[in-house]
Amino acid sequence: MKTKLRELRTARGLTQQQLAAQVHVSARTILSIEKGQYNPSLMLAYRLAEVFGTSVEDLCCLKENKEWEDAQNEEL
Amino acid sequence: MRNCKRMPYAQIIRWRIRVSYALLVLMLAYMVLVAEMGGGDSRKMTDLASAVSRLLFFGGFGVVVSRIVHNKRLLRDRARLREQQMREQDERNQYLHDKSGGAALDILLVLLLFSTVTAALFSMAAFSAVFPLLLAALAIKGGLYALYSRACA
Repeated sequence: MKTKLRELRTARGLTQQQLAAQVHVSARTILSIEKGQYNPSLMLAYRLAEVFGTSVEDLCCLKENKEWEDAQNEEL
Repeated sequence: MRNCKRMPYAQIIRWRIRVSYALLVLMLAYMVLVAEMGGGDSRKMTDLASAVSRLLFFGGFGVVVSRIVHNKRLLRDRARLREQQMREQDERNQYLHDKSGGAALDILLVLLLFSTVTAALFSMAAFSAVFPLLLAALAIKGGLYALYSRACA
């Protein structure tokens, strides 16, 4: 799942370690989310959105991801 | 979402220390029981069975003792305790644990370890059957963990 996490984090000047400490996860988890290879839980997505003062929908690009998934399902 | 009240992490560590001490006592009792039943006769055991039983039993003993020491150190140092808590409760690590078999495979591994040691001490035929199963279960756990770890690296 694509997210805006990397852009928001770098704009804020935070390292992965610093962000991880704020939301009580490991830096590895933040890395995985930024690479789009791990989907955060609802609670983690909410914590991240709170840190950046944005919404979960915006942070996780839910509209875009939904459109992409719908397109994938249609292809099948 | 969790609805049940979660125990404080320090309390969880204290319980782990208690369980570890109980496990040590059980292991000592097991050793006495095996001796009383005439198990562990090196004349009847193959070299592999002898090595595996020693490695698993005494290695396991060492692991339990080291966990007790480690957990006691955690209780003395709040910063380390918090670090350990974060590492353990990190959702990606929990995800990898669940994807690689979770608690079910962990329990199965413990049962297989116990069965392998017991079989090695009493019956070479049983040991020949159970030891490959233990290796297979370890390979499955390790393989799945590595696979999903790479997939969500």
